[in-house]
Amino acid sequence: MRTLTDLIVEQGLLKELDPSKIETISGCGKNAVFEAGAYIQKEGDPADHFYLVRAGKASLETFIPGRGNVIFKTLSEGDLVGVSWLVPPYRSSFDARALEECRAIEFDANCLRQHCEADHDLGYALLMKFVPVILDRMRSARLQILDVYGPDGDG
Amino acid sequence: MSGNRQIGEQYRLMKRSGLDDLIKVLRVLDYRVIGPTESNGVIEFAELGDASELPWGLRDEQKPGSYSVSKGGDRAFEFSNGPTSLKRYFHPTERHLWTVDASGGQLQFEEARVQVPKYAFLGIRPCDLASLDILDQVFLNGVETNRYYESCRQNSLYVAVNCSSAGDLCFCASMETGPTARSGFDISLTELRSSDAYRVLIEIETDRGRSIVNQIDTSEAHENDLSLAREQSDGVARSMGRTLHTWGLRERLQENADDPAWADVAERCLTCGNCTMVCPTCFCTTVEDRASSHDQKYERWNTWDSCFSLDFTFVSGGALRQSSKSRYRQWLTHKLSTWVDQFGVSGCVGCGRCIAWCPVGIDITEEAARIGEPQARA
Amino acid sequence: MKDDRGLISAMVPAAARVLRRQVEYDEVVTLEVERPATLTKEFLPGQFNMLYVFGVGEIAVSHSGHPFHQDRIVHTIRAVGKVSRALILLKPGDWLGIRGPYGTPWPIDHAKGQNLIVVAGGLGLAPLRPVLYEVSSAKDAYRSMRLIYGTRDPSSILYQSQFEGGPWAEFGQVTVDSANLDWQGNVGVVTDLISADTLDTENAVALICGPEVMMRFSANALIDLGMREDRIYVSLERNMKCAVKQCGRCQFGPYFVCRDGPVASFGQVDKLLKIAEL
Repeated sequence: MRTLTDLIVEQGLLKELDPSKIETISGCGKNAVFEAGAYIQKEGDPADHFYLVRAGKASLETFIPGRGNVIFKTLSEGDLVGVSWLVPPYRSSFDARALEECRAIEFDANCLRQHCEADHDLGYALLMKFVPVILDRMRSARLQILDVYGPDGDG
Repeated sequence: MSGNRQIGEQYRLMKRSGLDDLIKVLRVLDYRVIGPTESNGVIEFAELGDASELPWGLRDEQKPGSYSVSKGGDRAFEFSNGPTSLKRYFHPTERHLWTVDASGGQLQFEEARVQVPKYAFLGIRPCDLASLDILDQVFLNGVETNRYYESCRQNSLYVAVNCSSAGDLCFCASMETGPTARSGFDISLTELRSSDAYRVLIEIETDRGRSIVNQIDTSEAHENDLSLAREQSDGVARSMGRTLHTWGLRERLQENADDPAWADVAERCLTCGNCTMVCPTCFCTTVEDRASSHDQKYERWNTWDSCFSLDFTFVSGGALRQSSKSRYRQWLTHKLSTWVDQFGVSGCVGCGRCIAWCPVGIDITEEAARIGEPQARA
Repeated sequence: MKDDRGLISAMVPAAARVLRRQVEYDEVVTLEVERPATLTKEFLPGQFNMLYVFGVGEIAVSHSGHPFHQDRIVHTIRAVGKVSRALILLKPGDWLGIRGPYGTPWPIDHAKGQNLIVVAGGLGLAPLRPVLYEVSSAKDAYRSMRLIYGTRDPSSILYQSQFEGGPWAEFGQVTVDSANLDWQGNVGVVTDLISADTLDTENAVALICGPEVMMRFSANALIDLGMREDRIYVSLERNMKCAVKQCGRCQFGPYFVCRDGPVASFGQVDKLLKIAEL
């Protein structure tokens, strides 16, 4: 049977960390399953957890009265759900939801924050994995704001 | 005396009456004679009836943003140039392309019937002659030959006049287009500056030119006439009012599209497009549909346009070049730099018209010197 | 004076009749037009025509039809200006003027035996459809084939039937900028789908068409995956009046988009695309 460590290594995001760090991280993790439609996190809730998607599909979305739930990003295997746990006030910015049954590794944010505080090497290594994801999402958000395919775009 | 030795058959001399004869001969040969003449305070190309219509004893004073004509000298070609170049004769300000008729239920396109005139241009400055070589690259070496331009070019006869003085805004020596015409003419004329009576040295370049010269009253030219013409030319080249440094210019303009100097000139530029209208090589056009008297017909016309107009770059999202900075940059970079990539030569002949006719006196030679050269900006 | 006919024939359109009009989505229409006999040159994927509407004007529009069915001329048009708005209102039996084809084609032959990556954004799928038609019918000629398509939302997916359950389903992926819960597919920008997990960028040729911002980001994402700039091609859009390199309007740096484009290698135009308002 595969251990949590194996599962973490199978996911792209953290696999290049050295084994001792993965061992430490996996001590803060456990398996989680979300039924289709279940919320993984809700806007404004404490960011106590973050997730690495192993299988299935999830969304980042927000509710707009009159338009319903608007999805602005879909996530699948290997993707990260939740970055708000990294810095105070540790509060989730958007809703995340399973669009179909979703298997994920759930990390206890408090546990990991303590490890990072105690071992800044680990903290740095983790930030180097998270910052590119944040940058990528920021770039995407800006392109979406530009609405290049819309009536005022040039496409 | 060696100085009085006869020179080759391609040179002849004529008196003032020779110009009268020349125009008469050209008109008998069915040419419409186009030459410079004074009208409303400017010297412009227009159709000439006889040689008295040439701007005898008139010179022009040109400065950035200013042009005036005054009396001075006694020759026909004392001036440097006026606002019109030859461009409009080959590339008309407006040209009918076709007519579409929807009266029969379907569309019927009919190509316009075009009359190609037979022009004889008298008194073409070397810079303007060079501009025709440049336009040839645009209209004859493209994807499709502009056959109106081609026919008009072939039908025409070219009488150049070499410059015997340089204007304040002239820089043909920098662009290597003057002050003496080297090719592209049938006949060239040089008014000789000497204490003797008015004499014009004729150089014959083509058989067509020779047969015309044979019909007018000329005399033999001598070695010292030719050396006088050469001295004049050297003197003109040395007294150019402006200089444009072309070495490395192509690269410097293309590589410095974000230079702050563009914003500086843009603050002065009114984006009026005058420079593109008076430029002998600017060729950009638009098209427009004109309703004909019958409302089931439209005529399509090709008309001059300018890269300074806002709708020049309109695409689905709006105009691509919104700022005056970007439009001035396009004009200057095209003229002096990307033109070389496109056609193998610069698009500028050094006539200086764009400087004189710019309402705010922007000087192409100064602006070109500033881009990519921070030390040039004091 | 002599009367010279045929002096300007390059700019005279041929009359053509609309055979079919299909609404793709809001303000986007595909017209099928009978090919006039006088238009003798067959189009290549990537090339464009000048389309004229009676009394309204003329614009450049890319071919979006099947390159093996040259009896019909097919264009997908979005209403953005007065001519395109008039074009999308044409009905079967109406007439328009056409001249072309003009411009450079997509280098499909250059991609033979290699991995072909097609990236389209919004209406940018239309100039690539001839490529997809041609490649679909000769899949064996390519080592692999991937289509990545990004658009605004699920209601603006061009040629939607080609994707889900259609001929492009096996190699195509769609993503939209935003969606509601009815949408089962990907949400995110088109570059999200440009990843080493899904694309083989070794020995690949990429064709990109869409808004300039989208093309720049997509090309750079491919370069980040190791592709060379000269193996990535983009399609440019500029104002055009003549399409024969004489009106001067379509200049893009040293290039005339009507002759040197619309298709150009990213290596050729990368530096120019970074200059604002060029």
